[in-house]
Amino acid sequence: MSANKSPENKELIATLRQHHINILSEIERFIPDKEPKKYLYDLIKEYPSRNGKGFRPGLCLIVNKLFGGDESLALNTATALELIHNAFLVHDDVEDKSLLRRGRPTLNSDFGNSIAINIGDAMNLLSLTLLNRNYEILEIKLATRIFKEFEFMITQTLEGQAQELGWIHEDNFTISEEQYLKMILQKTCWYTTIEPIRLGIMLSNNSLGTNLNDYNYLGYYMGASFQIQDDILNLVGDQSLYGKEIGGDIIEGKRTLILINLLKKCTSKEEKRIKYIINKEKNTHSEVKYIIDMMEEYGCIEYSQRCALNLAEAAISEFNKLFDKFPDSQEKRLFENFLMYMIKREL
Amino acid sequence: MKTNNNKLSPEMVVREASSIVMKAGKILEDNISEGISMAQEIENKYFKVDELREKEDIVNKFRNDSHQALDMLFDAFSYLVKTTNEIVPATKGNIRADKSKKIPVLEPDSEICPGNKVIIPIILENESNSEAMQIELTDNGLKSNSNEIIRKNNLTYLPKTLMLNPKEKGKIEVQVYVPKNCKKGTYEGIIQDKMRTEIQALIKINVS
Repeated sequence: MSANKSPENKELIATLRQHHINILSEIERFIPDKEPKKYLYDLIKEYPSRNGKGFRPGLCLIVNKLFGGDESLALNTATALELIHNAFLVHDDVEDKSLLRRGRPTLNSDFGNSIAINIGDAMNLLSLTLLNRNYEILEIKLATRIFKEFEFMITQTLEGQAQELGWIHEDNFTISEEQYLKMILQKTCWYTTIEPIRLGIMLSNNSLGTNLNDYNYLGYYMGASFQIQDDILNLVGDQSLYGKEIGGDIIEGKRTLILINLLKKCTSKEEKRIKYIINKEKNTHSEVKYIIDMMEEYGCIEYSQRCALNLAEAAISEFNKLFDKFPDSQEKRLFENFLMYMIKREL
Repeated sequence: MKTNNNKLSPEMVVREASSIVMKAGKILEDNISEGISMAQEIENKYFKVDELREKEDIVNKFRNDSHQALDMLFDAFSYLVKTTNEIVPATKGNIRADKSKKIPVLEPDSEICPGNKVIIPIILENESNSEAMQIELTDNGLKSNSNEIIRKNNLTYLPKTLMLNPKEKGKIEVQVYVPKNCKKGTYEGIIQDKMRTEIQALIKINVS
């Protein structure tokens, strides 16, 4: 049965969808009703609604409820998280020169880099507005702690992104698995999984007795498995489901686990050709296919799938360790289903 | 032309991939240690730590300002626990716990050589008249000024969990093993109760 269609996941998808609707309403509340609309405020309103699933704020709100939180108090922070995420996507597409996102043309593709960068900046500013609003609805100390969490999270993301862009800029192919894992920890996992869980707990009534760092491993293993699977889908997935161009990572020169593994295994002659293709400004379809075929032939995709599976199993083990003593509840089941949904992506 | 020798068997793929979780775990540990050190550096950069710990009014000001990085080290000992000294037979000198500081600094007087272990006892007292208390200490390892790390798996606590009835005292031994390849320097790290993060102490060891 497809991951999407089981009864458990129908409940999860419905919950995430409702959370996403609430988040979009919140965003709309804080967008000024004034000009310029066409190239600023209308796009800030419209972009987050483009087929996004709202994973990150959804995870935050699900965890928050599991720990006895009040959604009305957590919604503001969850919305800030979603805005930061969308800002990252917009800027990421400019940096990677991507043409497709969520099955539609990227903002830079439709409107050019300048407008896209400005939209991303505006989304970041709006997230600050929401974090500032926390001082009206939460205790001062908690509002400040949340601010510091966002500061740390965004720093990690920027550092991870800088690292990845630096590798591409320097034509650096001598990257180890450890370096890759560190890069995705910083660039992806902190803001996709680790921080939503931490924030969800912090915003709840049950946070006083909880050491947030105990949950970092769960977030990291979930996020790492998710990212590696994303890298695999980029090569062999169904574009209509995936939403981005297949082989895009090769065209962008991204240093993925699959590529790192290929460069470890291939001959010197093949390595030279691979590097030549990746360093080219534009690639033909057959060049991209050549690299994907080599990845298949050397078992790199299979290896990466196995790594993603190992990390997923580690995430499940952490979940069981942390939540074993929690009583059965709808919220606990939702979180568990979220974990499974995230790590069993459609391949 | 590639031969079948280049393709891994399923068993080889499984073996090759099995180390990924361990690698990821170590990377996260280092990342968190860096984060805590960063918070400590922020504190040291903006404030003279020792003066603040002695000046109640300044500490209160920081609580009002609520900088989370400072809260990590300046949270009040409002919870009913206190610590005392104890001489440790396993080391040459005393363990100094300076009670005038808001957070006890536990530091053996003598240096520790790599490959050796130091035992730091902590006496804890539950001052509550009615509530029992369970203490389980945790840490994120120790770090030196030159970013050398003693990983958290080198710190153990005996007992792992200490139960204190009202007005009862108990002892936890913090055992720190200094790895053989550990570089010379002063290593510090916070240990704290898993449930009550305001119960904290700073462990400080000098490696020769």
